[in-house]
Amino acid sequence: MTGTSDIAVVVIIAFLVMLLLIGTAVLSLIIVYTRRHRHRSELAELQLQRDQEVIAAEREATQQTLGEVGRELHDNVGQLLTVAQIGLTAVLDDGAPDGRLHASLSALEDGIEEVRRLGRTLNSDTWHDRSFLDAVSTEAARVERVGRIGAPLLITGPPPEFPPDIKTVLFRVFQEIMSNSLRHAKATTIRIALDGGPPFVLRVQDNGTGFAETQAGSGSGLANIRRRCALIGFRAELVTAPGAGCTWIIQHRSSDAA
Amino acid sequence: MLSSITWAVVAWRRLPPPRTTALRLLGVQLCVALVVEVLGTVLSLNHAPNAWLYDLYIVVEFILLLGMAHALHLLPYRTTWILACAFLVLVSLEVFRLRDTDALVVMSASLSALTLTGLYLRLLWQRAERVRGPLFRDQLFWTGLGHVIFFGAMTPVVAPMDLLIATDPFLASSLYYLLQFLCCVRYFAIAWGLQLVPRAGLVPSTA
Repeated sequence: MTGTSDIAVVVIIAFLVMLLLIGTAVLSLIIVYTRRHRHRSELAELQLQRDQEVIAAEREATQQTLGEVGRELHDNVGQLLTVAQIGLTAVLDDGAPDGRLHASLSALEDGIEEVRRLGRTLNSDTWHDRSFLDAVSTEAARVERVGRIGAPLLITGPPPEFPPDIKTVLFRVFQEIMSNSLRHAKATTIRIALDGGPPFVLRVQDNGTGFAETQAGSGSGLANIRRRCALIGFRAELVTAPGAGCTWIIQHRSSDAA
Repeated sequence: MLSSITWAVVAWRRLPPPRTTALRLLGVQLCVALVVEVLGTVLSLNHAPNAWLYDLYIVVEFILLLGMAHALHLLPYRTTWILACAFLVLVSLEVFRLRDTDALVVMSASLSALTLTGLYLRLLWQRAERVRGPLFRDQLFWTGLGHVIFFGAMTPVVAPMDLLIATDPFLASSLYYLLQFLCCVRYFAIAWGLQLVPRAGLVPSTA
């Protein structure tokens, strides 16, 4: 009996030791898994930060390049054209008036003005110094000139001064709406109404062909406009129908909380 | 023990198709285990010898779990076959040595248990390295854990079983309760892992 009792004790001890070893092995596995999981999360976060920094750097590089192009246009090309203008003016002052020279001088003056305006547009430093209202006014004037359509701007109360990030996205949304109207709507007029609020409301209405929203392509910019507005705390509403033009209403969401 | 095996079988039956090879083999092993336990209980109640049934089951179980290990890419094809053949030879030799159909092939059972413990520890390690989501929601983790606990802890209990049955049957039957406890833990763990799959909406995972 003593012999079998000893065997029983040995068996039980061995059983417990095996359980302990298995428990230790499983615990080690769990520790390895937890560490790996944490490292993976840290790596993913680092990768995301890196991607964001790369995007920011690319954006800065692009803005810098555009700024340099703008300055070059304004300074060098503008200066050269100004020299040509001065020369033509001197010729006209010295000699008999010549209709062709007058026309050339007029075209040159227009060219100088266009180059300076383009330089201001490309120079992002200048853009950031401008208010949202100035940016919208300039863009409306450009659309009138380029698209040969009316783009009257109605302002009801000065808009608030948005942070630069919001101003950038809001202006890009406005540009996209204007661009869509120019390209697709066959409109003769795009009315822009800006209400400083609160709440701030930007309304862009064209008298074009309109469209059935359900038939817009799946890759259309409509979702892009709505998504960008939602990102910066605005709501984008589209009212359109075939033959009834198209109206975008961009409203700040501060009114939702009220 | 029967209830834990039954729960495991029911959980396996509820798995959404398609079932991988590994899961099909697991299902076969669960069904065979249930049948063997029922038959063993019936034989025991009728005081008929049932050691031959469990000897046969040890062989079938080892082959099925080897196959499952191969399906989970834990073993290459050739090694699986070599181990299976070697085990069959070992069992045959032990049966010949014992020349008693009512004796358990404890040596073969112990060796198979150690082999399977090593294999399924490897499965646990593999899951810890590969699983991206929570480890405790991985079906294969629970299957591996059940097998490791059962086969790892049963070895010291099974190894002296023949000697104890011959010298102290009461002690042998007492120690057998440990095996039953381990069995319950094994099948509850497998059943828990299997029932995680439909809830997570996942196709059953393989390595």
